[in-house]
Parts: sequence; structure tokens; C-alpha cells
Amino acid sequence: MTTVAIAATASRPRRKRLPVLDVIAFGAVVVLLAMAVAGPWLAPHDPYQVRLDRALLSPSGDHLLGTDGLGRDVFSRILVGARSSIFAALLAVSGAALIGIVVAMVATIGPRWLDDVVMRLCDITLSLPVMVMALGVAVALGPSLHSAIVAMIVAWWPGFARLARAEMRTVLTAPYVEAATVLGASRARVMTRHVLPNSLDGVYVQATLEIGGATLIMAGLSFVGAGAQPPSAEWGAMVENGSRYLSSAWWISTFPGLMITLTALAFALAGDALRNRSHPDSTLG
Amino acid sequence: MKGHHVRLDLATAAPEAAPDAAPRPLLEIRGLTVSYPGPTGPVEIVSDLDLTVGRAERVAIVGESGSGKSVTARSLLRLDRRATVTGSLLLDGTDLLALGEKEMRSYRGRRIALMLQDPMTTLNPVLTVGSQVMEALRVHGVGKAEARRRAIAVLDRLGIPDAARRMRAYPHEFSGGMRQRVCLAMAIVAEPDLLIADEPTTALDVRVQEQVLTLIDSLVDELGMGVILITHDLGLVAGFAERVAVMYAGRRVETGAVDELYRSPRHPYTAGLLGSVARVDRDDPLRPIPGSPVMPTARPVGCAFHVRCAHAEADCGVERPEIRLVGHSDVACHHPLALREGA
Repeated sequence: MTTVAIAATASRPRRKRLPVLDVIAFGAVVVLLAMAVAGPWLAPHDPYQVRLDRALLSPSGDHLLGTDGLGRDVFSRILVGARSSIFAALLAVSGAALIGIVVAMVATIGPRWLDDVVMRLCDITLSLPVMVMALGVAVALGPSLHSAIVAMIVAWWPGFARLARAEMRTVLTAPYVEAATVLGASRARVMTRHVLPNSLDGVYVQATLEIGGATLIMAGLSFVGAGAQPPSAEWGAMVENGSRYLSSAWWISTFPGLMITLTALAFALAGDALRNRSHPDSTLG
Repeated sequence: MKGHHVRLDLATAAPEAAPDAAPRPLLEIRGLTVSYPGPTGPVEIVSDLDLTVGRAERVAIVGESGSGKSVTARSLLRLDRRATVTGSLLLDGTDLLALGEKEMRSYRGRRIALMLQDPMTTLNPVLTVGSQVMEALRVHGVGKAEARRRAIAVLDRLGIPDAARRMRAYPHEFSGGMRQRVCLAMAIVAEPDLLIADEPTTALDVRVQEQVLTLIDSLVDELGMGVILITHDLGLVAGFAERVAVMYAGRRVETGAVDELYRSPRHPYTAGLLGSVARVDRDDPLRPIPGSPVMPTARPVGCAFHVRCAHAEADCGVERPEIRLVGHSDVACHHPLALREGA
């Protein structure tokens, strides 16, 4: 490893060797994203076709993961549901992270009182549990997948704002930030070029970890009926749907549930790997 | 004025020629007073400081921690928004304190460069060395290709082997001495008229210290820039600067030519500083200055040094001594030391 690093340094400054776990995590993320994109074309059956004569079939060659109470193919529904479940989580988290970063920058550059106002607002929002808050907003907007996404952004941005602001405050006092000012860089340039890239580590990790969490909350919202509405294929809604048959047809809930778990885990690990790589001098990579 | 202008790069605008009959100094600090807000009202960190730096002149500001030397440097660039700065800071006749923030920004790095203390932390870890050196030019409107060419030229000049390729390296791949060279490159790539080096060598080992100072020294002759070296290390000053200003408790207590001042310090504080430096050419035992520097919030009446001074008399605690010419040095002391025997 050491020799590799030295040799690579001499030839090319950017050296990276991916540890196995990172490869698996990134691989899983790629597969999940591919599923989200291509799911509808890969599905062997129509995920919405009700065939009561084929209801509650256990996994078999024709129905890889069995069928649900209305005879719909669980495997096809999982493939199709990947889109709503994963994209919704991605959208929610990236939206929240983006708003959080912008707010943090405003709070950092802006006058003291603005900082205070923004941060107290964050405190208030953070004092409510995310699920409760998101549930409230989603129901108020009328239960749908879109409402669930908006609700999660509303409930989640303050966490990112706090994180980013705390980090930016620290980075702002770093000597290299002052060095940039000394060179004549404008405040905007200093913020975007020096402060921002050095403050986002926490946000990256948080965001990727939260994609897992967001998948869970999204599923939760759908599970209680505030998110994706039937008959749409969404993993959380599928778990709910199958919960009635859990004792007789375990596959209906179990496989979507496994997918939720897998997604959460894959993004968490990928987030960790990403953090290790985001800093060129990181020793963890 | 010694040396002539050999520019590293011909493409930069040469500083406008001074047509005035009387050659004015590059930098003229008059009555600089800097205060910061404190819990019980403003605290004066630097008081009524006068100092001039000529072109291609090397001036050192020496003093203990908290004597106000770094604050002086920072106020030249107006870095602290919280600080209240009064007096006048004339760079080439332009009062820096009268400039708008935007104009001031165009002075930073281009006219006045500041080299910060610790090379291990003054480089951004996520940007390549090259882009950081280039930034000093880019922020002042130099094109990318041009900035790159000049950055390579400077790094090369500062003895970084294979500069073109090392541009793509990250700071963590450089040693301390190399990083200090990069910091120096960032400071001088825009060919400033004045370079302020704030304790540029504290974090380096002696050999690298010497290299860095030698480099700065040769650049002074090449570029004709004025240098202010800020340090607590009198040993460093001896081989580098032409003039020294000694600061104590925010005031200048003695200014003079290096040889003069070393041979025969007039202010007891200067003598004390010299006495606490090990010297190879003398056999005297080390004599540390008793006591510790005074807090800016609790400066004594009269001469700030009198509480620690072995030569203090009654009037020292009553009236603050004004700067006056003693021999060849400016000294702020009621009872300056006599010319040393054999000096």
C-alpha cells in the first residue's frame, strides 16, 4: 500500500484504491439506482394487473417473489416501486441538504441577527420529531407521494443547516481562509471556494446516511397512508399491504422490507466511503 | 534603494513611477492606533505607531507575544472588521485607510502581500498547490493560462523541483519547508510592492528557516519589494533586516539600524531582549527579562516597561516618554542607556 501510494504520488497526485466494502456499497447503490431507472422495463409482469385467481401465490418460477392479495406480482412491484421509493428519498434528502447549505451560507455571511433568527428557527423545527412533523405536513398537503417529499424537506432541512453552519463557522477561522482573503479574494469567492468545499464533509455523510433514513420515513409515511397511495407500487405501501397476510403469505411484506433495509444500508456505507474520499489527505481512504 | 527591478515576469504592470521630486518611502505609517472592542470598552492594542519602509528595504518588527506586531501587520491589510484603525497608512502616497472595501481588496495580494505564520495550516487541503498559487493572480483578473505560467515560474524560482508537475499535488504531499515555499510563492506571485512576513519561520526547523529567509532576501533584490519581517527572534533579524523597530505593549520603543541597535541598544527593553538571546560572538550568560508582558487592558501609567525595568526611576511611572533621537536611534525612554563601551 505504502509503495503504491508513493509511486502513484510521483506520477499522479490523485491516488485511490477502493476497499472491498466501498466497492460493494457503491455497487449496491448503482444497482439500486439502475433499478429505479429501468425498473418498469425489467418487470416480468404488469405490476398493477389484478388477477384474483393468482392471489397469494408463494414464490415460484413464474412469480419469483410470489403474488400479493390481489394477485399482483411482488417482484415486478418491487422493481417498479424502486423508482418512487429511492427517487423520493433522494429528492427529499438532496432538497433538504441544498436548502440547509444555502441557509447555512446566508447565516454565516449575513449579519449576526439573521444568524440568530435562522438558527432559532432550526431549533424550533428540530425540537419536533421528524416523523411527526413530516406526517403533519404530508396530511395537511393532502396524502400523496409529492406531499411526502415536501413534508420531508420541510422537516429535514434544519438538521443540514445546523450541521453546515457549524462546520462553516469553524472553517471560516481556518488560516487558509484568511490566506485567501489576504490574497485579495472577495468574500463570495472565499465562501464558495474555500469555506464551502471544506465544510461539506459532514453534510455528505449526513445526506447519504439520511437517504437510508429517508427511505425508511418515506416507507413509514406510505405505511400509515400519508405517502404513496394505492394502488401505486411503493415499498412502504407494499409492506403495509402485506402486513395483513403476514402469517399466511410472508413474502408480500418481507421482500419490500428487505429492499428498504438494503437501500438504507447501501447508502449509509456509500456515504461513509464518500467521506473518506472527499478529502485528499484522509488516511481512512 | 538597492538593487534594480528584475521582474520575474514582464507581463505585469510595473508600479507607477513616482514623479515627485522628493522620493517618498514605499510605506509610511503615521500615528497608527488599533483598538478592539473588549468587554469593558475598546482596548488599544497598538498605539501611535510610526514606521516607514522604503523600496527594497528590509525592516523587522520585533517584540514579545502580545506586543502588537501581528496586529500592526493585519491592520495594514485591514483584515479585521472589528478593529478600529486610526492614523494614516500611506502606501506610495495612497492612504489605505481611506480606500473603499473593494479597492482595498484589489490592494491585498497585488500591492501588499502577507505571509502567514504556519505553513501547515495556511494551505487549503482540498485544493491543489498550483490552483492556490494561481489564485493570487486569478482574483486580480489574470487569465488562467497566464496565471498558470507565472505560478510555475515562481514555484520554479523558489526551488520547487519539477514545478509544472508539482502544481497538481495537494498540500499534504509537501513537507513543511516546501509548503512554506508555496506560501511564499502565493505571496509574491502577484509581485507585490510590500511583503509582510509574519513569523514566517516559527514552525520550521533552523535549516529551512535559513533557506526561506535567503529566498526572501534574494527576492527583495530581484523584485525591489519592501519587506516587513515580524518576529520575536532577534537572532533571525540580525542577518536579514537593515532596520529594526522594537515594540513593547503596542508602542514602538526603539528604532534603528540593525548594527547600531545590536551593538549598543538604547532602550532597556531592547537591551533585555538582546540579553536573552544566546549569541555565539559573546560569552555573556543569558539574562531573561524579569516579569511578563503587560496586558493591554492593564497598562501601567508612564512608560509601560518601567515595572520590569532595572533602570527605572521615579519619573518613569509618571510620564510616558516620547520618541526622540538618541545617537542614531529613535528611542522612547527617559533614561536611555549610554553608548556601550567598545561599540
